[in-house]
Amino acid sequence: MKYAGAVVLGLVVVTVRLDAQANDDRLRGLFDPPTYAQLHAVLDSARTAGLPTEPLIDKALEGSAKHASSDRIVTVVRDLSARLADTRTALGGYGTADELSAGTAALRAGIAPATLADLRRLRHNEQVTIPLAVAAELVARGVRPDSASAQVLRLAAAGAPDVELATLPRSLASPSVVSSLYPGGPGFSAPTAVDGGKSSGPVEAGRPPKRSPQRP
Amino acid sequence: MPDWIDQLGDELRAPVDLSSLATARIMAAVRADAARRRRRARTWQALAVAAVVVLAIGIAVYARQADGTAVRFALPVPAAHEVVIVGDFNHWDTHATPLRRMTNGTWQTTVRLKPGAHVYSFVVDGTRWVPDPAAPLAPGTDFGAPNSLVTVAPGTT
Repeated sequence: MKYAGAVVLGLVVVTVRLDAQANDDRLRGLFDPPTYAQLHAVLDSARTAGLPTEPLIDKALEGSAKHASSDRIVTVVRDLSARLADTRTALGGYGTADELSAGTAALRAGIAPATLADLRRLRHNEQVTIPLAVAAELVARGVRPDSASAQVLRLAAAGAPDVELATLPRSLASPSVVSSLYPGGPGFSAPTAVDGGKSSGPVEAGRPPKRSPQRP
Repeated sequence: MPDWIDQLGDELRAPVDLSSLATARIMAAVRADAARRRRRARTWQALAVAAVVVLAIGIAVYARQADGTAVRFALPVPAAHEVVIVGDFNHWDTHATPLRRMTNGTWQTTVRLKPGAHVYSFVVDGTRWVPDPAAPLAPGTDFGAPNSLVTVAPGTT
């Protein structure tokens, strides 16, 4: 059985390398050689630093889809790499790709790095992707960053599960923001069909969002 | 029965006195054969484990694609000829996820998303980038057109 471990390890390495190769090929097909070389250098350096490259590749693909200039794409991808590193530092020096992406969005929304550190401390055995995503979405919905942080930290400290945290943005967003999005107001049950020219927005299919029960 | 057959039988039945060198050689050959069999068994075991791992990876990849929460997106643009949704979930591929026009003029699709935050946008008629009017805007506009933001909770398939 001593070979089994080696075989499994080999398969994992091959799978990871094939995945990286596929990502590389995606970029190579989209960009001219000089731009590809610059992007490749950013990805290599991120990989060496132990940062996830998938968010960087997605950002480059977004720029390409939006017909942004090559210079702009390289600048934005390089900037995102630096932001991911900052996020990892704020999260205590480690984090999954999803955590780092969500944390980067949260920091960019104005959430303080200390909030990321506090979340990591409160949920050191769990992922913090959803709390970070929720904090960013609260700010995007018009909640002040410090209030958003306080609400998310309060629920995290109370041991609220991710599924409950995820309902927070729609239940806590300021009434003006919510009512402009959903005619039903803050106590709404978001429509799943278009009504009166308003889009229903992203709704979990077959499961209309509910208000989160408020914790004391 | 002829005598010579009995004699031959007696001879064959008689214990053979092998030299210790020959005994050692025979036992070494037996041990080598047993080791070869063990090695072959280990190789087959390793191959079986590898097959199971490959199968598990395949199932995991398939499950990852089929897994996630079904999220419905809609955009009311009755005059549009084509609407697609692009985002981090389809690697910003403008051909991957077209919306279907409903009878009331709303374009709609359902996408399975893994838990977490996702940024996306609609593209109308191949040129017009339109954020979702029913979702908040994602922080930052790196490439001009703003994106929308949706947070998907885990375990709500």
